[in-house]
This record gives sequence, structure tokens and C-alpha cells, in this order.
Amino acid sequence: MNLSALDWCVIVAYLGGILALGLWVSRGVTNSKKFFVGDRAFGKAIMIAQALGTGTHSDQAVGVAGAAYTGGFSGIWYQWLWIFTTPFYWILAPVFRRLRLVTTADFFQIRYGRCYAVMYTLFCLYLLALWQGIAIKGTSETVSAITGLPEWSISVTVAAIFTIYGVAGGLVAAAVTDFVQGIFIVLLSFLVIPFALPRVGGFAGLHHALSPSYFRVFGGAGGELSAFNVVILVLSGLVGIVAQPHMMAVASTGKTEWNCRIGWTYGNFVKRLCTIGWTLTGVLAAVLIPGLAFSQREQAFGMVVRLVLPAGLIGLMTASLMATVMATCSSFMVDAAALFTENIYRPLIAPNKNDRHYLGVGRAASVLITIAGFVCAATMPSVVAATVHSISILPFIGVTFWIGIIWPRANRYGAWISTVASAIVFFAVKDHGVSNAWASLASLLVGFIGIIAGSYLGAPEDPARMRRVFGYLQVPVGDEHLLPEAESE
Amino acid sequence: MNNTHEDQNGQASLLRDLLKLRSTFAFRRYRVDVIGFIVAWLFVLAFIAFYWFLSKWT
Repeated sequence: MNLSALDWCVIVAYLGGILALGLWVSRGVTNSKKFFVGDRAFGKAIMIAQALGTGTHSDQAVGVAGAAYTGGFSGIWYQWLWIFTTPFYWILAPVFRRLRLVTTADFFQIRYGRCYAVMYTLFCLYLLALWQGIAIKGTSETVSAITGLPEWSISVTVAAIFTIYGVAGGLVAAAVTDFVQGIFIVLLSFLVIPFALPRVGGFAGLHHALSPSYFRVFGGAGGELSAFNVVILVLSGLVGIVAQPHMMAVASTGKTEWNCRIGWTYGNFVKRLCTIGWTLTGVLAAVLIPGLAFSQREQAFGMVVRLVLPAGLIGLMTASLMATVMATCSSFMVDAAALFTENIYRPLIAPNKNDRHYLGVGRAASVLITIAGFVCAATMPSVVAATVHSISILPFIGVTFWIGIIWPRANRYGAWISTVASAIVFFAVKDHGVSNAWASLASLLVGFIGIIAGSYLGAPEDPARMRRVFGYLQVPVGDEHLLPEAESE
Repeated sequence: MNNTHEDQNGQASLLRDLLKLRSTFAFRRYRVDVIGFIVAWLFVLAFIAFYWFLSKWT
């Protein structure tokens, strides 16, 4: 056991405080709308914290620090690839907000029919369970390396806490606790630097100790990422981001469109800032703990924490690592519960029940999805490979979202052809040994061609439903009176 | 469908109107989208510039 009594006090105070805060804000959560989308009443600070907390996991910090350990400053591009998609969140946020829907599957149901929405829902339930499992497992490994505690005890503790407050308060509890946990994520990113930098003699000492190649920003992450790969990753990331199931909550639960824009865009810019801290931590580790093999580079983060941080701050770092997983998983849990309740249970299993019934189902689904996350993480022979494949599929569904909001003629035939054909092309091309980047490019092209061709071949969607989608997209939130034919929110 | 209010407030959606921008584009109509998008790109450039200077800092 590597922790002092002071470290333990910090960890216990943090975990107890988050649980108490989560339960305290849960008191007012008495209906399903508040549970799933927080009544769309969040301010700018909560929206920023929600975007930061949901999108940031400790394995990203550990991965970037590891890449910087071997590749220097260019290691930042493993996460900074997404800096080029961030400005698009500004113009995407009002699209999500104006749809006035609970889940992205709701959009697909209105746009392309129930079958497509159910397919998307089932896929996303698997994805969210898998992501939860990976986040819990990844963080537990890192925390275990720092503290010496068994991995299972860390996994069970964090899962129990976020499940308790998440089940009680839904998105309200997840978002409010994200605000506190966002502060801890920033702490995690920069805590090592003031202790490690003096040990190496400041920036001058860093330059003296490492080769000049370590300080190249545009070196392709130590030669691991080519320019072509970067362009394709950015492109497929931008296409796929709209299909990520938690984006509806991240982008549309603000009280105003302005809050949604600020939250999604600048919450992610805070993450980009944190990424600089992760990279510096990795570069400092290269000087302080030289000699780690390439396959061990992701241990650099935990090792430098143990080396430079004093008692008390190791506890703070441990709490911060736990904060990343609790912030992420509580949001994923509520998003999965919303998808199951609103897009499977309510329309297919038990329609026309009262709201209290659906709230109870949402809470039960929250627990089940977390258990499923544990099962996924424990039974997957290759979790990483499974994740790469599931993320690769997201852009295929993303194509139908993008085309669905800009082209009224797009229909369900095009959507199915696009998704199925692009998935087949991706995996078939990959099977022939083609690189991930070329396979992604080929499948994206097939996806776009497929939806256009299919939409011209099949009958158009019901004009009334299309008026609902495009009419709502035209009317800013708060101006619903300008659209008399629109249903009230 | 009344979009006068949307025009006056500059809140029309660039994405929704993407396929007809050649005929509909006017800065005052898409003011919020355009300004925010440009500012966000300036942030991107500022982040990269800051990081580049940090890498040269001695």
C-alpha cells in the first residue's frame, strides 16, 4: 500500500463529498424529463463541465503522457486531432437543441423510421456499456499502479458511487457532480508539473536533457501518425461525433442555445488545454524516469506521480483520476437509460404508462447498464480491438445524421443502404489488409453515395414529419410561437 | 413559415441551410453561427501557437 493517512483522508473526503452532492441535488428529480435531460435548464458552467467531464477519461491522459514520453511534444496529437473538429460544435449545438428531443434515436425515428432508430439504440446500448467498462477498467489499472490497491476494489467503489447518485438524480446529478469533477480533471492535468519541472532544471533543463526531436510539435507523434492518417481521422471523427449517443445530452440540455454552444465548444477547449498538461507530464517523465520500453510507456504517468508528488497530493491525484471515470460513466449510464426507456421500452414494450413508471424503468436500466459494462470489460478477449471497431462504425451512422439535417429528400432507404454498405466496405477492405485510414475513407465515400442513391430510388419520407424536423431546426429555442404548426415542447 | 425573427437575430442555422447557402447567405442572417465559428477557429490557432512557443521555451 503506497498511500499515507493524509492521502486516504483526501480520497475519502472526495468520494463522500461527491456522493453527498449527487444525492443532495437528486431531491428534485421527480419526472423522467428531469432525469434524462435535466429539464434542459443547465447554465453555461454546468454545460462546460458536462462536456469536459463526459468527454475526458483518465486513459486519455495516460495515453497522451505515454506518447509524449516516447515521441515528445508531438505526442499531443493523439488527442489534439479533435481540436480541428471543436469549432464545428459551435454550429452543431443549436441543431441538437432545436430538435427538442430526448435522445439521438428519437431523431432517427422521426427522420428514418422506427427500425433504423431501434438498430441505432441497440448498437448504442452495447457501445455505452462497453465504454463504461473500458473507462472503469482503465482508471482502475492506473489508480492501482499509484496506490497499490487491488483493481477490483477501485472498480467496485467508483461504480457503486456513481451508480447511487446517478440512479437517484439522473442527468441532474451527473451534470452537477461533473462541475466538481471537472475541477479535479484540470488538477489532474497540471498537478505534476510544478513538482517535476524544478527537478529537471526547468524548461532549460528539459532542452538540455532531451534531443531536439522531442520538442518538435509537428513531427507526427513520434512518426506514428502520418498527415494522411490525421486528415482521415479528423474527417471521420467529425462525421461520427454526431452519432455518439451521449452528444444529445452534452449538446442540448442547456437552458438556451447560447449555453449549449458555449458548453460543448468551450468545455472541449478546456480539455484541449488539459491535454497540454498531459503532454508536459509525459515529457517530464522522459527525463525523470528514463529507460521505459515502448510497451511500458503508459506506465510513465503513474510512475511520475509517485515519484514527485508529496503525501496528500497523491491522494488528490487518485481522487482526480476517479473523478474522470465517475464523470464519464454517470453520464453514459443516464444516456443509456434514456435510450432504453424512450426508444425500446416506451414504444415497443409498455406504451401509455404514467411518467412515474418510466422514471422507475430509467433508474432500473441505469443499474443494468453499469452491470453490463462490468460484464463487457471482464469478458471481452480484446476490449481495445472491440472499441476500435465500434468507433469505426460510428461515422457510418453519422453520415445519415448529417445528411438528415441538411437534405429533406434523404429517406430510410438511403439511410439503411448507407449504413450497411459503408460497414461492409470498411470491414471487407480491412480484411484485405488495407490500412484503417484508407478503409475509413472508402467506407465514408460509399456511405455518402449510398444515402444519396437510396434516397432517389425510394419514396420520400412523410412530408408532415419532415416539416416537424426542418421546421423545428429553423426556430430558435424560445421562439416556438413563430411556428404555429409545431407541437409544443 | 415565418423566419423574419430568425433573420433579424442572426440565428439562422448554417447547417440546416447548407445546400441552399448560395441563394440564402447573408451575414446578418447567420451572424451567430459565423462569428462563433470564426472565434472558435481563432482559439484553435491560439492554442497551437501557444503550444509551439511552449515547446521552444527555455
